[in-house]
Amino acid sequence: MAAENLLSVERIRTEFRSTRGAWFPVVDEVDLSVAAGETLAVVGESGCGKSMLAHSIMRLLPPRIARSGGGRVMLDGRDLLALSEAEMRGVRGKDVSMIFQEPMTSLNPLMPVGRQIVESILEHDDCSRADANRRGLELMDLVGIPEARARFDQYPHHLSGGMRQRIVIAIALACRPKVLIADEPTTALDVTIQAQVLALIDRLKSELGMGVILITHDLGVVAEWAQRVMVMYAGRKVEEADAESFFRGPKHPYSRALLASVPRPEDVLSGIVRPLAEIPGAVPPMDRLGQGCAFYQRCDRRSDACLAAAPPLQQGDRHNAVACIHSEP
Amino acid sequence: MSLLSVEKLVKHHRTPSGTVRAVDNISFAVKPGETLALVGESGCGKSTLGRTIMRLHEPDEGAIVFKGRDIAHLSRAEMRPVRRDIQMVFQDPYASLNPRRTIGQILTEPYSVHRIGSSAERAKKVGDLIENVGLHADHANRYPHELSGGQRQRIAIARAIALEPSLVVCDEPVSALDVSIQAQIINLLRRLQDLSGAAYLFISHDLSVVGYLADRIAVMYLGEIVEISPKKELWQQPLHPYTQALFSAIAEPLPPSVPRRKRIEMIGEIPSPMKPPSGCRFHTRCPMAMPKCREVPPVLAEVAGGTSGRQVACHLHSSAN
Repeated sequence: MAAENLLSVERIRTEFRSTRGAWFPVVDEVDLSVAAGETLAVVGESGCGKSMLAHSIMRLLPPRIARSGGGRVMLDGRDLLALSEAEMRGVRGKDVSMIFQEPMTSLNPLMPVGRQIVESILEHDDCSRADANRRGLELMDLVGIPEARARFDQYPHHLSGGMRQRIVIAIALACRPKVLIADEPTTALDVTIQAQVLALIDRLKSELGMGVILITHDLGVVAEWAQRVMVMYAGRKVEEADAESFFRGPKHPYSRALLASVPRPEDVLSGIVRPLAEIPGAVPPMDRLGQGCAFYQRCDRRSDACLAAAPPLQQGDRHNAVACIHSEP
Repeated sequence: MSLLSVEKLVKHHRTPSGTVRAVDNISFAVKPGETLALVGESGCGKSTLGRTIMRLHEPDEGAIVFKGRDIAHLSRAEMRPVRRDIQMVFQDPYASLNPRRTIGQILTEPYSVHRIGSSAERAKKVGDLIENVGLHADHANRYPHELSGGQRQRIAIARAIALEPSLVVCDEPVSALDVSIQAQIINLLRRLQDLSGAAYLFISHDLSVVGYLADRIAVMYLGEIVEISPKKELWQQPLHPYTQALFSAIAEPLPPSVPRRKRIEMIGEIPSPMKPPSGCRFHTRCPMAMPKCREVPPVLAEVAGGTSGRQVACHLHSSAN
């Protein structure tokens, strides 16, 4: 079970420049790791920092407004944060790939989809165009695009949303990356297409031995497709657990509140409808955090002690951890 | 008696590349005070159906009988008093609120349009509305951009209920919101329904939300209703193969060791609503299709020997077999 980690992120910190010119953290000393054949889900509401974390790992944030505030991203004995921009370009798509929520924005509308896959192969691998064409077709088969040869020369707007997301996945997998970061990959898709795309990522993960970091706000998706869960709040990791223990009993009050706010199918069958649990208020802006626990205002277990300092992450068995003075991992 | 009865409603969109048969001969009814959910995937016509009932689209054929009167072909002037009684909440509250008006002005508008109350009475009503949807009195002086997405949706809901309508058409009202905010808005919609007794036509692609809120569920596919049923029965045993596939795809937030519904894979992709398949429109993707399905369109009808109020359009369940 304890497979070797493909990617380990150590105490990564990313800072943004406020309109007044001061720097403040949007990702605050987060650790994570992912092993071959494993899916780690990163969850939280909008503004909790999960996309920032992914963009920080890929170094995709614009330097004008964002900077690294420390930490390491270790892959194959190399620290990605220490690479030059040119070296990093060689890593993106080759060693670590990322797919985004809206497939249309990551595809070139003016280029046939087959050629977009082929260009991605040619950029990273030293092979002939004929070879790349052949591999492009294989990839389209692999991601389940029917009549791949006919679709090869079609443009993105000819394809449905689900098919476009498959093309994006094919491009992301073109050079057999070790790690795939999927940022809300199915949020824009219908539920049946969502299931197909997630099943595809899951199958390819096992076949290719990839590690997957799945960023999502959908706890149902997490329960069905991830082995481990990490909850973020206000730029920090507040809980990490294996999926089974997480859904049996999350430890952090924020995780518990998130899970309780989701409508449950059991309610349909019992016929007794209780109000959904609400989390009062909203995620606080990151440039205005006090020194205590960032969840304090919205927490049902808060006490004065929570205001003294941001609660440290208490490490439990294996990867399980929680950052709350009222909980134990 | 039904509050709303939609009869053989047709709405086709004519586009340069062909005619989209968005709503194709649809019939159903909404009872006073109930929540009927309309579910289906993008392009199935559920939003067009909601908008046609609101007369935001002109129906091509059929009747929209509201409180015993067909409103399908009323003039603008004739529709005005009806609009008091049927209101709508949209997915994106930001797009549906005028950015140049304060919340107080936005909420006063329904009363001034329909010439209700003196200005003092209107101010009082607006204050009550703001409080009813869980906001503060001082929100009245703010503009939409100063509010969060959840607060804006509360304002859109306040505006919809201002004139105490009998029917509120909710088109994906929580789809753009985070789960925690979603829970707040869902609870609010339920509480307001308990207070006002309004019926909801709740259009959504999110089956978990629908499972929580609806009394009955209608499932749409390519411009038609394929199944309509009380919620509990539909959840326990969906009858139409499309409903089965749709419900089997729900991702449930349960421990991974808990057994799930068996996932039913549909064949291929959704056909174009410009050229729907012959016979049963679902036959091209149905794992159970028979030769008959290619030729004869099934009729939405009560299930023989089934629970009352369950209707399905599928040859597997028609009594003629």
